[in-house]
Amino acid sequence: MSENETIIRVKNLSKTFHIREESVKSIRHLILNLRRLRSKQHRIQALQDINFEVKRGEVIGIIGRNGSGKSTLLNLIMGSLKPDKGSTIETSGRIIRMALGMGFDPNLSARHNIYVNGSILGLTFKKIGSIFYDIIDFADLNDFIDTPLKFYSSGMRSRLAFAIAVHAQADIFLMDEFFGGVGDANFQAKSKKVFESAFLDKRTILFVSHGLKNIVDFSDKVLLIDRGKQLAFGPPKEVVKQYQKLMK
Amino acid sequence: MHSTLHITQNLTVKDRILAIGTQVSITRAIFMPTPYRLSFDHRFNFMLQQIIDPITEHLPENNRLERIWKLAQIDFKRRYYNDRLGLLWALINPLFRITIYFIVFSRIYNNNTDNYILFLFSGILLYGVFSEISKGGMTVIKFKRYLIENIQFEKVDLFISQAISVFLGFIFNMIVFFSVALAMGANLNANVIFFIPVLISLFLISSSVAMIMATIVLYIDDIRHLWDMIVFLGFWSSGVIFKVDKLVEWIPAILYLNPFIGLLTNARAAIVYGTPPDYFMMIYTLLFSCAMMAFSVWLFHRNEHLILEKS
Repeated sequence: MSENETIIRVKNLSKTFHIREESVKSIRHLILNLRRLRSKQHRIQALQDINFEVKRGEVIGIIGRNGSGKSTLLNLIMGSLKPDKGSTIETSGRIIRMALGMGFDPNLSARHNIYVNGSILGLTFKKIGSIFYDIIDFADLNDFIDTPLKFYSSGMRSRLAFAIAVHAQADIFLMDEFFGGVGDANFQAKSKKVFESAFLDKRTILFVSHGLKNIVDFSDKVLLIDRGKQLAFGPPKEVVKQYQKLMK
Repeated sequence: MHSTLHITQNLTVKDRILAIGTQVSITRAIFMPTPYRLSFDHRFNFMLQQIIDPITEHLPENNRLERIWKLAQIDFKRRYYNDRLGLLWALINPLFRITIYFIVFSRIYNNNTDNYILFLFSGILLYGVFSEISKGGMTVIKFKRYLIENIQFEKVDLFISQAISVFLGFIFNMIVFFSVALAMGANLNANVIFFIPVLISLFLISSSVAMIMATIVLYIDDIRHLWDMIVFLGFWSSGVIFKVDKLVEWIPAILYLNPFIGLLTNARAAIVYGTPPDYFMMIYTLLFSCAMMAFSVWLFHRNEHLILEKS
């Protein structure tokens, strides 16, 4: 667990999606088209030759236009997609991905969702029990503990997601438009404070954001992707300038 | 309805548990009428916890086991709680089918199997577990997508917890079964312990079929029809409603190809007739189910990266 240990190493990473033009996957279709299947495939190169390394405790911002492959990159790092042959992704430790309304089941109450998420994030029930009311208090949901999440407003949901995330035990955090604060101004101020003081400390974070201010303020390095290609990886201010040029 | 919502929300958790503990008997908690349904949730949780807590207290804290148990619990709830009759559905369906089969096979066709109603009851309950778990395998990925998308964890746990949740419902069925069995003078004796290896094999076979189904779904959407056929074939080739002697005489190999033949025979020996099991078939079925489990875990792991890509 040395300070300078490389925690994510991405080398020659490419990802191609094979999409069939007719997306119907039925038994009849399979039998009738057994021979033609391969030729009909449509290829989409989502990412091409991405290379970077992340050290423990670094905060990396990822920017790029819509559809440039940012979320695909997060999915690949998390291991839920398989990269093309020849690519290497090495990660060490537990990874979680946070997006608004992350692993929540809308039919379950906040209580159950906290237990399920906490447990999957590696906490024992004892530990969850001891921080349960901290999470509820932080998210300001005292009156709605046993209400199914489908009746929550989106603000309440993201507050809960954020509150759980702050308590989560993981080595690498992937954040999709989740960085900084969520909710109303009041909660945003509160969460920003916690975020800066407690959360950022010694955690490895990769975050996708369109908020350039957050990128410049918080990240140590920034990765710029455009149409699946890596345009830059370096100090925030320079890369953001390059991105702004690209947008013009 | 609205007033109930209000009251339960204003109570603290502790108050609620105290209130439940003093007022409600277990039977009342299970068969609670509709207006009380909102608090049913808490009553049932409390009831389960009373049974489970003393057991789990002595187990080492294990994050993975806890998670599997929690997922099973919420799956069980999703299955029964939102319905008006709740858990009763778990009983009504098999009872209804047993009545129909019983009428057909004892009144219309002559049937001289000993203790036929228990023979039939046990067959349908055990096969029902298999069909429910394997059917769930096709949807578990869809229902739990919210977790798969965002958190890295062992996805096999989802299938195991789903199978446990079906077994929880099965416990209630078995309570009814044993009550009927005692009332009908079944020969229950020490051989009942041989029901345990039967349950283990049933659990392993069902969850591995669920995993295989989940893998196939990634490639072919309309696998449901194939599943229907597999379950139908299994139903008529395992001796759920008749003795398999003639079938085995005709195709001897089927004894080894269909693990349910040995499984059901031994189950009935244990809980209907009170005779010792066929030890060879017992061990064969256990080995068969372990091998199936190993194969399906391997198959699922090989394909799990397709979950987000294809569905």
